[in-house]
Amino acid sequence: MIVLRCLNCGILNPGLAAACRRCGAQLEPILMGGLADEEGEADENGDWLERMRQEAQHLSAGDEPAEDQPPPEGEAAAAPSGSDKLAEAEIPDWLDRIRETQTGELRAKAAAEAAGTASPPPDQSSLDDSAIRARLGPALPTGEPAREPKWPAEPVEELPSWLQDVGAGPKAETEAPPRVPALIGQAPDQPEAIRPAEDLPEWLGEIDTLKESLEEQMRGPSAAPGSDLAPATLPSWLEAMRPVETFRSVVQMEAEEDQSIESVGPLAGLRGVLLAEPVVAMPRTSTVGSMQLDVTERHYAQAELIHKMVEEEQREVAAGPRKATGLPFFRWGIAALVLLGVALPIFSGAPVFALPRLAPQELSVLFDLVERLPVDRPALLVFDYEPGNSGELDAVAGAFFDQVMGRGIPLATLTTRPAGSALAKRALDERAARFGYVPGQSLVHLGYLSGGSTAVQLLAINPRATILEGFDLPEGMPEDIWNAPLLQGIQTLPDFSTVAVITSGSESARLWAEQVGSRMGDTPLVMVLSAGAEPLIRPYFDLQEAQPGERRVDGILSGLPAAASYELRNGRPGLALARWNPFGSSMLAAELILLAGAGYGIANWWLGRKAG
Amino acid sequence: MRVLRLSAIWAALALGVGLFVLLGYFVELGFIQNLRLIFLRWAVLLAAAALIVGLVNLLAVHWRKVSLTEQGWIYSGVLILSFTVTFVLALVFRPDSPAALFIFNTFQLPLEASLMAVLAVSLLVAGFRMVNRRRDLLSLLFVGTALMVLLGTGPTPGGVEGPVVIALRDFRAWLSQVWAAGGARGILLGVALGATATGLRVLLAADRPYGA
Repeated sequence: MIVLRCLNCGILNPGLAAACRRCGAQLEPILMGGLADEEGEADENGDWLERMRQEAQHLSAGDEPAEDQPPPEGEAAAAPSGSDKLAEAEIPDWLDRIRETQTGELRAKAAAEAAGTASPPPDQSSLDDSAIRARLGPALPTGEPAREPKWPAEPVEELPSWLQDVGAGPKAETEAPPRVPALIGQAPDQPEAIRPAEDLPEWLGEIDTLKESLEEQMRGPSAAPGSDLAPATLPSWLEAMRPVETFRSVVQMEAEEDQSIESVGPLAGLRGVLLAEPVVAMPRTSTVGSMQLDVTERHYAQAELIHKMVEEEQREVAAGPRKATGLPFFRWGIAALVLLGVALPIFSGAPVFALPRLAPQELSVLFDLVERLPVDRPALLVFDYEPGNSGELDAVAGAFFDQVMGRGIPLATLTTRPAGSALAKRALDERAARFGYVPGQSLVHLGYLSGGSTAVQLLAINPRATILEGFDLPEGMPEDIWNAPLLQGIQTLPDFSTVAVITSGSESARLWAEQVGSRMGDTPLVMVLSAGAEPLIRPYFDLQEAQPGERRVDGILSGLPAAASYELRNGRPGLALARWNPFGSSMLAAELILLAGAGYGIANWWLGRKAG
Repeated sequence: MRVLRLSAIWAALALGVGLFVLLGYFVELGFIQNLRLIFLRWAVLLAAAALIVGLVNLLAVHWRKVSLTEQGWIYSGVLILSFTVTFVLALVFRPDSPAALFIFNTFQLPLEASLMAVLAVSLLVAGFRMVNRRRDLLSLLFVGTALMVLLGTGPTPGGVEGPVVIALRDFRAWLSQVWAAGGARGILLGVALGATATGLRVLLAADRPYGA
């Protein structure tokens, strides 16, 4: 029985199968010496197999094809020359070599018999052909047209029995040389020696089985009841799985000289070893991973649900009616109330608020500290706040500045903010003129200290290496600002009489307290703060009360009320007292607004609860 | 392998520099102090360079907005214009020139102060709506505390501070110096512990903000 082995998965398939029954790869017969495609389109339909089937039918029926019987349709044109072509082109080399060997043996036997008997020597060429055919039986293709025998067809005892039978058959009937049916390309109109079916070799008997199998496959799916598939039609899923482009089911045999020699493995040294790469390494559709999805109704419903969800996500929601954005009258009303609270005392002088009678405890500490500052050393004022906080801090720091400048302490300013130098100039220039400070002699702007916390740390270690250029220096100042008479004695931060940090942010205040506070020695560190930054800095100030040796901040001044008290104690009314009534009025407005909001919310909740 | 070596070099550099700067706090040796000073100067230079890089990036972002006429591109255009004018004036005439100071006193200072005023109004609006929007105990407590602090901080209408005003001021001081200061100390302790842990992680190369 002829079977085809799939080069893709290796499974055996019936001979006429067009595709592998397991992996669906296209199956084509491999012919030694050339591609199956080279046989032409006629062989793709299995013409040789059809001829073999017909011969098998003849054999099984026991009748002999008539000499004048026309060839089957479709073979009529090819039949006369078919045997020649097969003899010349389709007989493989190995078969020729076998034939030559057999011919040599038979010639030797014939020569020996001729020497022993007086029988005339047979025609060698006819002997060769017929003997080989007789030896190989029906599996040998007919190499050439039958020739008339030129020797008496007597059985030779030395020949094998099956060969004697072959020789006896034709002699008994037609005295013609034995004709064996060819496996491929046998012309049906040529005379043959027909053997009874029971005398055929066992392997030839399998042709019947093969025939039945082939016919069954030819009928195949089309004959199956209820099937609507055409014989050559593959299901779509199988068509999709078929590796058409990536898999070659035909192995191309190269010329012997072009074939490489195997270098490894048990076949090392042999030439023309079939490569395993087409099977194991060439890209193809995986047969292992191919499986059928077991999709249930539930899976299908879930997939539909996901599909709908994705569709809804992609669906563009129609824009609803645009909500009319009215003017923010509510916000404007609150802003107007606050503005009224600020402006009313300024323009009308009412309402009047009571001045702070009780000063915070830390205020006296700071006041006494400033009073003890030496006047021969400059005080360093650090302006570390943004212009937006100048409304509060100008007033708070003004009270401190008035006391310091009232004592005639020389001043040097510094900032870690880009806008700090302009704020320092704006805050001190007017006071400098009022207190008789001379720029460059008793007041120096050191300018902007870039670098953030690292720069502050560097300043605490070596101020001269940190500040290289001043801000708004008058004419005649030396190239190096540290050579100015005011700063000649300053080598480190403790050389200043005090360091006062004016800041609105707790981060900046913490930075100075932590990086500079421990290096100040006996020089006090003062914090002038916004009211919002006080809670986070007060622990540094309270530390000196708990542990006098571990002080960080020596004085603290925060908020407008403390500044007003400071000015009252200093006896120099300044911005804090000037803004006291507007400050009080705006605070009152804010309190009323919060109270109204809380009352409105509670009333709304109460009414809603009452209404159910 | 090369990446591993480079990361090891960066980690070793960070570890060495950090250790020298940290030792400078505790050891008064001249060698360590001088080395620490050098490292700090480099850091200051890098910070200044980073500021310039940030400015360039800011300009590039807004320039792209203007080029593509994205939403709000007109504001980006104003920013680029004001930046260019201020930068050129400060660069040519120095930052302490009258022109640069005029820009600061006339534009920057009033604008930023106005923003702070708007912030005050916005906070008041939020405070007014808070109880109405979220009626729970915490909201009432928040608004009540704010009201008490304002009453204790602000001046009292009238000529004399009465006992009620003094009581409110004491209550405000109690809130500020007990509750707020206690919370602030807790925050400071947390910040200190976090900063210590972060510094140690950088020193031990567990965190590599300079890149792996």
